[in-house]
Amino acid sequence: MNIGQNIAPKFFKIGTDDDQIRSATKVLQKILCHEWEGDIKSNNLESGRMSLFKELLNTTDFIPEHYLPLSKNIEWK
Amino acid sequence: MVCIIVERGVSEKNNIMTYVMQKTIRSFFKSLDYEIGDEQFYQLISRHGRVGKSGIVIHGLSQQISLTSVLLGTILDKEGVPFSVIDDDDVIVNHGEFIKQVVNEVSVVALSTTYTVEIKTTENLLKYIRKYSQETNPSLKIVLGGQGLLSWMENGAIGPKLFEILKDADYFVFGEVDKIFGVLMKRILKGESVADFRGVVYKQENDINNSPQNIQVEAGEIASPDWSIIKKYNFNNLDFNKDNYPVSVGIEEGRGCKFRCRFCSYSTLAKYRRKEVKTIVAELKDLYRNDIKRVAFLGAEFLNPLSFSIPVLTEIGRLKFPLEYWAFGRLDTISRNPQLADLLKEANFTTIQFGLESGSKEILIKMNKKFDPTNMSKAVQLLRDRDIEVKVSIIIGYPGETKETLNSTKSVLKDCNFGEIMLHGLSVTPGTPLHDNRQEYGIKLTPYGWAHETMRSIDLPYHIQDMIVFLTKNTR
Repeated sequence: MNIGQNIAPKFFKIGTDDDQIRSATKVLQKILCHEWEGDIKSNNLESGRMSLFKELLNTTDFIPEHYLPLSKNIEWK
Repeated sequence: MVCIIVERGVSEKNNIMTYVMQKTIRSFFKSLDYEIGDEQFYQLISRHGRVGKSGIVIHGLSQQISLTSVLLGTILDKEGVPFSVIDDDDVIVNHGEFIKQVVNEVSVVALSTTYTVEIKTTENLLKYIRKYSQETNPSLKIVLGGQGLLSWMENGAIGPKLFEILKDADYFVFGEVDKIFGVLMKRILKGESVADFRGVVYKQENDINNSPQNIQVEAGEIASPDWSIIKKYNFNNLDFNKDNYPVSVGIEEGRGCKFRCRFCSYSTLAKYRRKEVKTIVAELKDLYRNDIKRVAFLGAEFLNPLSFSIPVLTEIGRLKFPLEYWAFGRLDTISRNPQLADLLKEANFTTIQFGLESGSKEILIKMNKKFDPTNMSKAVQLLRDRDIEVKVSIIIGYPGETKETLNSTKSVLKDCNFGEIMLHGLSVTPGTPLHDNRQEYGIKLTPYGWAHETMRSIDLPYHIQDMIVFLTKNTR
């Protein structure tokens, strides 16, 4: 539900294939688990986040703007 | 000129769990921002050009253009009635400006409720259309049709008030329109009477005339789509690239379903029909000639009865069109009839989607699913050996669902290691036996969803979250 259909596709340009969506879904799943589990055990929370962030950047076309903190003065591409 | 609007209704199914997941992802990025340092963080992202204003155009839709809009368009094309199409999820958000423009250029809007679950979605869309046309195009006629209408009419809480809630519409077409849509639209365009159409309710001087009827056509009368109309007419304000057909499209092998799952309304609203093999083959031929690569069979469960599926699969396998196929199919049927796996492979099916729904025998009996969940791995292996991917859907929260039944589901999902798992929180939908006999199941509808003896809908995020964590750790 939702991750593969409603969330992961938002990280891609038109013409993305199923394998790319699937890979991104997997990373997003890992991010969700990391954050939910992090509430319970906070070991290596920061290093885990960085590694997942890099994995997400490598897997997707871009990060949708609405997921980012937007109060920053930056030129969006 | 007619405008066909098909609201695909994906967003209205977004629920509390979608909200929880989106909030978690936002919090993840917020934490990174803090960890890396504001400037560094934004430089890192912007340097890679990795911030987008929006995602892909298809808003979570597996088919860019729905079969519904192509079928309706095909019928109008044959009758020589020009039209444009808006076919997307959340059409007001995604095509609001185009709707404002088009409702002033056409005489009739034909609005499909086929994918719409919440009557509020349609009510809001009608208000939106009227708001932007009442002064500039006051004679605009709005025609409503589709399965949503039928299920709302069946819903005791809505039925009697249906025409009042949807008062902005002029015509309500109940049942299937394959035989009448073209002639009906021509009559409405000419301002002629539609009183002789069965199942078409119409307003005249604020009176409601005619009565709703669930009109259903015979298998041989189900319309066949002509996908070439995509190149002739305006789909989604030309957002859709006319030079390319959609990669994946839907096709109906029939209508109705052989099975009687208690959470589903399909078998209660539509009788079971299957097209002839030659009709299906002709439609497939049309698809590959139009450079379409993938075909999804949308007519509920594909494999039963075998007297239908075996001849179809054999013929598709023999003809070897350059197409890949996807269908709903029961794994227990494949376990009992292993030859189906070979036929599916020979016919170039690449994906089978199965409504597993639960791994608990007890829950499956209550759902009337009639299969043994512990016997799934044989079919999965048969299909996997032939490079056919298996996707399953799971419903969490059926009456009787407990931690133990969810553990049974986890166990089956872990053992079978499916290619894709779709998790759904239980939806108690009007028109289903579960909804209509809800007292028998101990279900109470609440302002936030539902509650029964063993679970409440407000607990779903916790259970779904738990299931996602388990699956992420225990499946491929």
